[in-house]
Amino acid sequence: MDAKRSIIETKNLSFSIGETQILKDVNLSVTQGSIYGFLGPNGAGKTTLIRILLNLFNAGSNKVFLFGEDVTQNRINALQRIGRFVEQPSLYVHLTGAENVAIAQKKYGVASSRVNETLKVVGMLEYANRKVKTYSLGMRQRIAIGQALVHDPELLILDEPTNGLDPSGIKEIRELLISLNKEHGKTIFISSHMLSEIEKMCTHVGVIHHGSVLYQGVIDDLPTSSKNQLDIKVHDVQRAQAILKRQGVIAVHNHNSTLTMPVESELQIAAINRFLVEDGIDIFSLTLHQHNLEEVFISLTNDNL
Amino acid sequence: MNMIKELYNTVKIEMLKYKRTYALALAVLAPLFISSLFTIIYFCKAEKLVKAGVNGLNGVLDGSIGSTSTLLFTFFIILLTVLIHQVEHKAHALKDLFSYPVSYFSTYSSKWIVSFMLLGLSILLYVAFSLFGVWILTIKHPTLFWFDSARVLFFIKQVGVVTIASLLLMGIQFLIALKWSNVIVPFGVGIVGFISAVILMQGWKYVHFHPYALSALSYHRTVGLSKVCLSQYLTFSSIGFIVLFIIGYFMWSKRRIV
Repeated sequence: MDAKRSIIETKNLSFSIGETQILKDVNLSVTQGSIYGFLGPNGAGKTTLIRILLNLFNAGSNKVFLFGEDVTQNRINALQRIGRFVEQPSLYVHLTGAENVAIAQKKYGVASSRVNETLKVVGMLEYANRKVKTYSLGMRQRIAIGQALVHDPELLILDEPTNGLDPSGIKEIRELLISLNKEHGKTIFISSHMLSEIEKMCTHVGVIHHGSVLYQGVIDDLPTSSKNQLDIKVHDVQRAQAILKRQGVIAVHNHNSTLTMPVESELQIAAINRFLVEDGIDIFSLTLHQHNLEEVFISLTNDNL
Repeated sequence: MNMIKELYNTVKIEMLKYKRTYALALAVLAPLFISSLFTIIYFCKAEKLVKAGVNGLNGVLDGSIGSTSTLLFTFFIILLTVLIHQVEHKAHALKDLFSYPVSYFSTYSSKWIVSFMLLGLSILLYVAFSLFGVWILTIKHPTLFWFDSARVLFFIKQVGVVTIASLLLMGIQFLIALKWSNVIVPFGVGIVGFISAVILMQGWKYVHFHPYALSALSYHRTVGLSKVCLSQYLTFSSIGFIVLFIIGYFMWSKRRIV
């Protein structure tokens, strides 16, 4: 994956508004074909970074590269290849959904047939001739994503596209993005504070906190602190701990008669179980705690407080 | 895509945005309202308002352009510029506008072009509705109103003069409404500008440099009430507008979109 070229790259990107430093030495690299989840709590600097990527804020030259070129020098060429959604749908509510997508279609200078094709992709063809003011938030998000897709861009930059949606709306947008990535080959850069959503759809993740990127890489390569934890409740904690130590497993006596240890696979769990049973340890329960991205995120951000 | 083609395309998009908007409604209804008002007054009260032997046409057209230039046109421009920019502000669309692959010059100029198209539409309708009203009056009261092509041409010239004299005012209001999404600021500045102009027109010797006084002063000059040469108003307004257009472009291209 990393052999692929970087579509988005920032080099020691720092940015301040007045006296407040928003971004500190951000080095981002988003590879072609990935779904890159950009995670951070509110105020971490996600939207500012996206605005810099889109050249809405100027962070200076040789800091932001899109498709290998400096965005400040090649603004129009870069924007032609990007579809974007920033914070909330920016739609003219007195116009219909189709007219709103047509505005984007004309701006990008693509064929008018793309309007209906795009509306079909985002599932809004049926409602295209209704005024936007009659739409639900989910429908507006879809039209806004349609505006981002109308010129068939290589890269989608989406800033919290599921904000304010109900669970079914979130699921629909997630499925749409996954299909755009898998079936249409789009590279997607998506910011969110909804960790569960990022975990479900992204191939890569970047974690930003107080303007600094704390982690960046493939989701599966998250730091070792994120390994799953196995709790085993046994009748003789000391002896079980000694048995596991002989097998190279470091188990911590947590509370009561429970031992906790990191595990990497189901096979390792089976082996641990076998060692203990064969040495005559009675096992009352085995509980696997699967660390999700949320715990990793909290762990990463707490470490940097 | 060359610049002219891009600008043409951007103007077409801007025109699409103003479908079914208050800005378009204002551009159509304001001239209809003013012209109808004077037509109705003279339609009902012609015998009292027009002296025998005098062409009532002068009264209707003078009353209409007089009140328009001294009062209504200023408020029309304040409201029009606010409504034009509110279409963008209400949609929170500036961030989208700046992230399309279109040059800053095209996006900026297209806003001006569409504003002028709306203003031009309004002025044309104002002249058309006024002349239509006059035509009705000549039918209803043939002894009091009769067609006078010289007077009609003078009226059209007066409308043109007042419009050019208002360019500077339009430039100021356009940029304020573009900068502030809050409608209070452009309205506040507009009203303060108008009131100060009315006060200063009572005798301040440099009032002809007051942007909000220019339309009224230029109208008065056309009927011979002002000592300052008409071309001075028009030149000052036109040059001021060009300077504002250039300043506005730099404001637009350097704008940080939050």
